[in-house]
Amino acid sequence: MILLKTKKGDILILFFLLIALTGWLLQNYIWPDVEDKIAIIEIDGQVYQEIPIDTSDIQELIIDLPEDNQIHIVVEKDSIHVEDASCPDKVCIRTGAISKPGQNIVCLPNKVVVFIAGPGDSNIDDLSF
Amino acid sequence: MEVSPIMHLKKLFNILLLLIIIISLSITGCTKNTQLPQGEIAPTAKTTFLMGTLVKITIYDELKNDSVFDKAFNRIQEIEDKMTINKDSEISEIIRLNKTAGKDFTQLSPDTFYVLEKGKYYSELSEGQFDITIGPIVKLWNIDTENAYIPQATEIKSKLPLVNYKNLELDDHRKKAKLAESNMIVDLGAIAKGYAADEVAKILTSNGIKNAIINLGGNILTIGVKADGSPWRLGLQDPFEPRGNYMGIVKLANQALVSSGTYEKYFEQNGKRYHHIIDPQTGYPAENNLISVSIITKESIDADALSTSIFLLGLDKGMKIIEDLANTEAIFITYDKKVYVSRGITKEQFEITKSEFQLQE
Repeated sequence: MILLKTKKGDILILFFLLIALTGWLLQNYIWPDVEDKIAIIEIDGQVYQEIPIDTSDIQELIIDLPEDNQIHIVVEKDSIHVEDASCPDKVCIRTGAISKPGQNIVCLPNKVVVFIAGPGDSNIDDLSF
Repeated sequence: MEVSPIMHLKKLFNILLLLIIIISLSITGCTKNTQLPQGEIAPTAKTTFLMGTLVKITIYDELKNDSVFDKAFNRIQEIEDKMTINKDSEISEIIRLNKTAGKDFTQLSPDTFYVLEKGKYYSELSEGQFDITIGPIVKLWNIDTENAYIPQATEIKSKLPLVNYKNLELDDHRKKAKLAESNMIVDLGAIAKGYAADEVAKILTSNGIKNAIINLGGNILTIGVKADGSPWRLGLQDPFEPRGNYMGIVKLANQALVSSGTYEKYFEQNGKRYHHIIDPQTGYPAENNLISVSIITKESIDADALSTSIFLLGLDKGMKIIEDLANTEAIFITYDKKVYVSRGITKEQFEITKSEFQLQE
C-alpha cells in the first residue's frame, strides 16, 4: 500500500512537471515573442517609424507625404492595416490587415511599405504575385 | 517504512533526470532551427521603387560590400528611362517612337530594340491576343490612376484600329523602328520588367553571385539554387486572398516565375470589376474563366510576356501554345478554384497547400 502510494505521488509529480514543461515549451516556441512584434513603416526606402503592435489600444497614424498626399495607418488587435490613402489604385487598403513577420503592405504611388519585422514564413523563400 | 522514502527519492531523481534530458534536447532541437546550418550565410536583401513597382533583390552569397545592389538598381533605372511611357522622359526611346508614329524611323538602343522584337514575337505567337501596340486603349482605361472609369464605347471603337502589332516595323540591321500609322502607341508594360530582371541577373552573376532571388513587383527570377543544393521555394499568391497568402509552392532553379491575373489591378463600377488585362480584340478587360496564369521559363522576359499572352488566349488555346514551347510551363487558376498545369510540371515541382484548390488531371 505504501509503495503504491509513493508511485501515485510520483505520477502526480511527473504529471505536474509535464504540464510545467508543456507550458514552458508553448511559451517559448509555439507563441514566441508575441510581446515584441514590431511593424516598420518605410517611406521611399527610409525607415519612418517602428511601432510595437502588441498593445490592445488602437493607434492611429496619419502621415503626410509629398505632393499633399496622406496615408492613414491603424494598429489594432495585434495587426496593422492601411485605413485610407490618397493613392489612385487603393491596393494598400485592399491588402487588409497584416500580423505575421514577413507580411507587407505596399502603397506604390506613395512609395510606402509597411511590414512586420522578423524572419518571415520559413516555408517559402519569396512570393510570386 | 524505512526503505520506501529512499526508493521514492531514487525514483523522483530518475524522473527529474529524464525531464532534464528532455528539456535540454528540446532546447537544442529548437535552437538549431533558428540558427543557420554550418557554412550557410544570412541573406542580404535590398528593396527600392523602380519601374512603378517594388523591387527586391535578395543575395544569399557572402558580400564584401553593397555595390552590386547599386549596379543592379542603376541598370533597372536605365531600362526604365529608356522604355517608360508614363513620365515625361526626354530620354525615353519609346516616347520618341510613339511621337514619330506615322512619320519616321526612330534609332533605338540594343536594349529597347530587343524588347520590341520580343514584344512583336509574342504578339505574333498569340495571333494578336497579346498586342504590343495596345497603348491607345490602355490610355483610355487609365486603370492605375485615380481617373479610372469605363470609356465610352465609341471611344474604344475609334481607337481599336490603331492596335495592330503588324504596323510596328522593325529594322533589325540598323536597330530602328517605326509605327506605320500616326497615333499608334507602343506599351512595354507587359514585358519590360521581365527584361530588367534578366539584366539584373547578368549583373549579379558577372559579379560572382551564385544564389539570389530577384523580385520585381512579384515577378520572380531565381539565380542558382539554395545553399543546401535544393531548389528555391516560391509561394504562389492565392488570387482570392490579400497579398502574402499563397495557395501553393513552386520549386525553381535558375528559372523565372511570372503571374498575371485579374486580382490586383482593377476598379469597380456599378458592382462590376474592371481589371487591367485588356483584350486587344474588344478593347475591354478580358473575360474568361481565369483568375490567374503563372508561367515558368528560363528567362524572365519570356515569362512576363507569356503570362499576359496566355491569360488572354484562355485555358485551351493557351495550354496548347505552352505545350509547344521548350522549357516553358504554366499554372492556370480558374474562378472556381480549379488548377490546371502543363505536362512538364510534376507533383514535386508544384505543391498545392490550400485544399480548396483542386488540381485537374
